[in-house]
Amino acid sequence: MDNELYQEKEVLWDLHFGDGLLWIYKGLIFLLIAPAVRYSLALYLLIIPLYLSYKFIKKKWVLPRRGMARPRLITRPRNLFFGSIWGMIAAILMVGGGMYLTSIDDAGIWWLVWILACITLLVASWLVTALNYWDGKHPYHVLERIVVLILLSCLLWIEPDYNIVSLGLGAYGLFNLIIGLVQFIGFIRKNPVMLNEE
Amino acid sequence: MKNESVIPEEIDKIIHEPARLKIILCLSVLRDADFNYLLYKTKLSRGNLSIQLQKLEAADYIEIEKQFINRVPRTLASLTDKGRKALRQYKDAITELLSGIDS
Repeated sequence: MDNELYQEKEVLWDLHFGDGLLWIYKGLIFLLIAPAVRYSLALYLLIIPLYLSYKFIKKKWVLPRRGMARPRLITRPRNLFFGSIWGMIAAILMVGGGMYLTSIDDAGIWWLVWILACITLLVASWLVTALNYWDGKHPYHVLERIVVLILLSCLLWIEPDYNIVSLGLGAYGLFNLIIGLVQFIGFIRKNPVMLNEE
Repeated sequence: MKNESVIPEEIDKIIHEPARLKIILCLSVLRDADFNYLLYKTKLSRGNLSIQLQKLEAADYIEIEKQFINRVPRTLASLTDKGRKALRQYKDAITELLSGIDS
């Protein structure tokens, strides 16, 4: 019997990342950050159709192939609350800070503070995801570490400005998008649509 | 010799059957799962899964809930407290049973 199919961590990983959709949408959201900061926060409204399309694809393409299950141990409300607060603060810091800094000519040290905050967010989300879901087999977490380390090391020897940072965020977004698409296509190919129950 | 006769009394024969063990192990880490998810995870045939679910339900190890979503029937299964306790006891019994084996 394939024991790993029944390990809680494996099941959770499969439920969350097995179809690759989360990575695709994570990638799209990271690709949105730079243009939203530069041009208009209104671009962030695209998150609404993105969310709806995520739900639609999940319902139309994923659930007919995999069925539906809910994990026994979901995030506790306490963690969910702090997680939401942390997410909101991080989003305000990243987007608001970036918008403010692009509006003034001489931001000075505050550019660095903004960049460091963005890096902190990336690293925190990266570590939390890796710790929670790493199954030790899928290359995503290893590749993600490499990509993030390359991007961070670039910041050390290239003078960071808006374009460099947005390029980094875009590269990270693109990386997630590509990995997600590969995973999603693999999932679709490997799992045919199942018949409805009679 | 029937298979049952070589299984010690303390081993729960309902859980011991491989197909049912797959189902119950899968449900043990989930709050609930529908029929198709159990098919996806256990790789059993539809007929076999259906029969094993009925047997587990008859033993009160799982709870089955029938739903209709857009007129499509959906069977949701979840492990009961009795099922969880039985799985724990089964694990203890099988560990105890195998502990004397020199590998």
